[in-house]
Parts: sequence; structure tokens; C-alpha cells
Amino acid sequence: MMTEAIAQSELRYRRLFEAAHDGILIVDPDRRAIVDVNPFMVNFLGYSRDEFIGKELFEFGLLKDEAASQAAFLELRKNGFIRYDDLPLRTKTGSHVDVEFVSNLYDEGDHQIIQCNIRDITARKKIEHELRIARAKLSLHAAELERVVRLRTAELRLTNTQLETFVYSIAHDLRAPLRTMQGFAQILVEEHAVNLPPQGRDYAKFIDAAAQQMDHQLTDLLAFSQISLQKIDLAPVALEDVVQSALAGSAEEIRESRARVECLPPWPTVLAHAATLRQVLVNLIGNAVKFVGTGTPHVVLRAEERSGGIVRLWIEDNGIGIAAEFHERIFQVFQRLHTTEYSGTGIGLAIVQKGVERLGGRVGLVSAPGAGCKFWIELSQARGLALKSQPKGEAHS
Amino acid sequence: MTTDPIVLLVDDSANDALLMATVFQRTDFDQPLRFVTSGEDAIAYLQGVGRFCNRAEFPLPAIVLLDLNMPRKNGLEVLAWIRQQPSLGRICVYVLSASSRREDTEKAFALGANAYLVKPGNLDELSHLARTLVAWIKLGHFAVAPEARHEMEPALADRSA
Repeated sequence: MMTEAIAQSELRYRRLFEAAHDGILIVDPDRRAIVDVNPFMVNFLGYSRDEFIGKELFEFGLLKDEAASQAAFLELRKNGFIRYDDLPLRTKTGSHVDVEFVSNLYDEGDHQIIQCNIRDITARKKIEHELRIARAKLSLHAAELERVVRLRTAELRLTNTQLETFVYSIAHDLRAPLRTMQGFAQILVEEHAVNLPPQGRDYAKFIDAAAQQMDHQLTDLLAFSQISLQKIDLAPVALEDVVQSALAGSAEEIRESRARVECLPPWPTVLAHAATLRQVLVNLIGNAVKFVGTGTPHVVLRAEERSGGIVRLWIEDNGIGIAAEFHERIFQVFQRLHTTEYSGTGIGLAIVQKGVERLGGRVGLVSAPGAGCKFWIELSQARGLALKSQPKGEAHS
Repeated sequence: MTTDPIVLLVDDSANDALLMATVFQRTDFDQPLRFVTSGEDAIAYLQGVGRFCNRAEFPLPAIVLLDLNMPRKNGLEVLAWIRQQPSLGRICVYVLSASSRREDTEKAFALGANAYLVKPGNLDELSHLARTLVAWIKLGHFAVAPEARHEMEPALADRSA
């Protein structure tokens, strides 16, 4: 019975040895000679069974050389095992394979044997290698892309600055000949009218009026380019102060339009640039009291705290309103919806948009024809930041 | 009878200069506005050399109205030169420029400009500027360059009389 069981077990493990998809070598530790080799190993390296038997491991590249072999066997006796995670080998025909090599020292009755398991990891290594190359290529592409984006952004920024500088110098240089045209046309009207027939007087007046209109446009264009070009440092700004200052700056227009202006507190502190924000508000207030239709203009200014630390400042009027289709166009330079009923240069709202953009905010409106305009600008709330103009002690209280 | 101080306008635009001279004429300023149309001419005038050597015809000014943006020798260079001339003493320099850019105003003041005026865009504003300037000039006593003191003395004596 006992022998039968042993024979069965022997058969079971022999099958395992014969059918395994890993190479297995049995080595005699005393002679360091291979005593058995499984079919997978024979196929894998292309040597016949006879070529394996009696040879040493280093002869198949499983150890570097005889000296390394001796050292390895000493280590094996000491630790009971050797393991190489990644060992390059050559088959008999010279092709390159990679293996994971594990050998264990076992007691077998009165003597010891070494069992070596050799796993083919060539395919895995190849995939890993390709993956590494793909990753490297990817990061190279990403770096290149980033470089290109950086370059393009810098180019765009430069072009933009050049354009804005160009606008500034054009507007600036055009004013000089215009001053001459306007000045002498007016002198012609004022001092030489007696020498001119009525039609001639009218013509001189036309030149004068057109030159003055163009000068207003150039002045606004200069303001627009200056708001684009000037250096802006954002700092906490008390909205109440800026609103009051903007109302003072618009006093004449408010008086002329007989507008009723209402300011509804509370006014939070925002992150902005006071002079730029003031200019934006002056333009929006001017807009609100200008397009009034028949009634008395009523303008409401108020601030609304929104989620995410955003403050929305509303400038609301009861004027003629703007149809939704024009809501984007009105912010463009020289875009005017009215040419005869209302005077203007068509740059006011472009300055508003550029100014708000420079403050890192957004601008928009809610309006419909006949329903007034509600312009809003959004800025970051400066909560917990000390106001520049306040002494330190007060700002913290 | 007192005499208003001499004012020299430096502006590379002959049209602008002519317009300013016309506007000055319409005020009660009793001196014609002198003008030159380049930075080089301004320096030659102030030195009294070349075609400006006759001081009777080209008297040394007490006030210079100085444009900034001029080709070759710009206003700031002229201003710097003026402030290096001991013979010109504390001659008054008012910058009169179309630029209202802060860097321009700051540079002008740093170089010793006495005032900075921005050129207006139309005749009404230009007339207003001229009238205000003339009223201001008539109110003030202007430091006269050492070189010109001798010529000006009778006029000053008149004033104190």
C-alpha cells in the first residue's frame, strides 16, 4: 500500500514536472551538475535533454561564470535559496530571452538536491519596455505641447501689447492734426464769418463739429488703450468709496439728465484697482443716465454678495433697454446702437469691459427693450484683507 | 507801463504753434508768443547763437512752453539741457504735451519742469488754457535768467514804482 501510494505521488509530480509551463532543472549541489530537465526547459532554450544533463548552470547563462557559480552555491547552502528577478539568457539559436530564476535547496533523505524554476518573462519585459517608451514619448509630447502653448501665449501677449501700443500712438498722433483742423475751422467761424457767404460759414461749422466729434472718439480710444496698457495691482478697495467717487465724477451728467440716483448699502470690500473701477463705474453711470427715453431716469446702485467670494455690483436704470441680440455687441469698440438720438463715441462700454477684465472680473447685463438695463460687474470679495488706506489697527477690528 | 514776460513756445508742429500764437493774441498778453519748431532751435535760441544771435529780436524768455514729443531732440532732452545751464538760472519751464501718461509727467518733473499742462483737443479748451496761463503769468514774478537781468531791470523798476 505504502509503495503504491508513493508510486502514485511520484506519478502525479512527474506529470506536473513534464507539463509545467515553467522551466524546471534539478541540480546536484555537490557536483553542481544538472541531473534532470523538464520538456518546457528543453523547448525554451533549444538544447536537448542530453545537452543539459551533467552540465553546470553557468554553461546556460543561468549564472555568470564558474566563479559566480561557486559563490551562488555557497549562498544557496547558507540561505536555502537564490532568486534573480530578471536574468537575460540566450537560447541555443542565439535569441534573447528574459527569465525569472528561483532555486531552492531541499533535503532528500540523506542528501540534498536543488530545484531551479525558470519562468519566461520575455513577453512581460517586452510589454514593460514598450510601456516605458510610450510613457517617455507621452511626457515628451506633453512637454513639447506645453512649450508650444507657452511660446504661443507669449507671442499673443506681445502682439496684444503691440496692438494696444499701436492704438495708443495712432489715437495720440491723430489728435495733433485734428487740433489744427478744429482750431482753425473755429477761428474761421469766429473771426472771418463776415467774409464768408452763409454756406461757407456752415461748411466751416461742419468741419468744426466733425473734428470735435472725432476728438471725443480719440480721447475715448486713448482712455481705452490706457486702461489696457496701464500696470494694475489689485488691492482691497472699499466699494462705497469708489461708488461715491464715481458719482462725484458723473455729477454733471446726472444733473443734466435730472436723474434720481439711489445707492443701497451695504457695500462690501472688493479686490480691485480703485482708479480703474472708478472709470468703469463712471462709464456705466453715464450710460444709465443717458439712454433714458421719455421718463425721468432712475438709477439704482447696489452690491450683492454671491457664493464663492464673489461680489456682484448692479447698476440698474429704467431707460430704453437693449434687445438681447445686442448684448454682446455693445461691449465692442465703436459699436453704437443709436447714432442720432443719443450722442456718444461707442467706446464707453468697451472701456467697461476692458477695465473689468483687467480687474479679473466679469461684466454682463439683464435687459430688454423698454424694460431698462441692469448692468452687473462681478469682482472678488476682499474678505479678511486689510484696506490699504486704513491704519492697521482699524482694519483688523 | 509794464511789460509781460517773454514766453517761448517749443513745438515741432508749426500748425500747433501758430494756433497757440493766435490764441495768445486773443488774450490781453502784450507780448507776441515767440516760438521755435525743434529742440535744436530751442537750445540755439536760449544760447543766442546762429540766427538767434540778436537778443533785441529774440529776447531771452522768462517762461518756456515745451512740447515733449519732438523728433531728434525731444522736450525732455531740452529740459535736461536747460537745467544744466547756470546762465539760464531758474527759467520757468512749463511742459505742454499731448501726452497725459504718468511716466511722461513723472520724468518731466524729475528733470525740473515747473508745471505740466496737457494740450487740449479743441479751440475752446485751448483758449481757456491760454487765458488761464496769461492770467497766471500776469500775477506772478518770474525769476529772470542772470544774462537777461540787465535788459529786464527797467521793466522791473517800473513795476515797483
